[in-house]
Amino acid sequence: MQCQVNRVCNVTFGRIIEYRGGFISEYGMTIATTAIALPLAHIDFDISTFGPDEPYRVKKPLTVHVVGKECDFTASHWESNTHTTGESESEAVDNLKSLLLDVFDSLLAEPKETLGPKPAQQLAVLQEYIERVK
Amino acid sequence: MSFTQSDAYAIAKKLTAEIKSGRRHDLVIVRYQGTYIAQYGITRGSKEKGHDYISRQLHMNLKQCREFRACTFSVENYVELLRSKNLIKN
Repeated sequence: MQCQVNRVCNVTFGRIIEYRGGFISEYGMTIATTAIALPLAHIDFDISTFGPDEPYRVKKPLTVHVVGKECDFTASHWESNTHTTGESESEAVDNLKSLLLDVFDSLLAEPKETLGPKPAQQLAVLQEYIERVK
Repeated sequence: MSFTQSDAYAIAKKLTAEIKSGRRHDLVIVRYQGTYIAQYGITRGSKEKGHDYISRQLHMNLKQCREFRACTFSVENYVELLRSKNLIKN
């Protein structure tokens, strides 16, 4: 038996490990049903490093919130209004780490007089948590 | 309706925003008369992912952002919204 579904995830011990779309087998349909039944996950992570290749130091941990299910997770740092997605909780957090640095670089490069009120506020928040090291 | 990468790029185009290539994202920077007003990241990749959070980053609610994408909320309406929130100067 073949079933057409829009989205399906393979799960192992309740954890989503792979996403694919299209036709799936009866066996796949069972897996898809399990994945759809998973509750929406809400998880908090603390970012305490950006990795050895990045010239940035975390002054104090950034708490990020991850919400999602199946293969669609959104990671948010609410204080700086920075959000992004990933196919797993860890990918969403890794993507957010990179986006936080992109945003920080972009705001730092901007002359202060051309920063609007919200971007200026975002920069002030990020400077509480992140600093560039030489 | 959920916003995808395609929607996020379409909104950037409508806002004539600058797009910077970042580490894993394209960073969309929105300016009004030279002032940096807002930004959001678009996840690069072939798979469409939800980008519903861009409404918050553009200082709109989800309904306004959907209407903006659907072109029933104009750039002029958006500027007026930013002005009403004191996010741009008169």
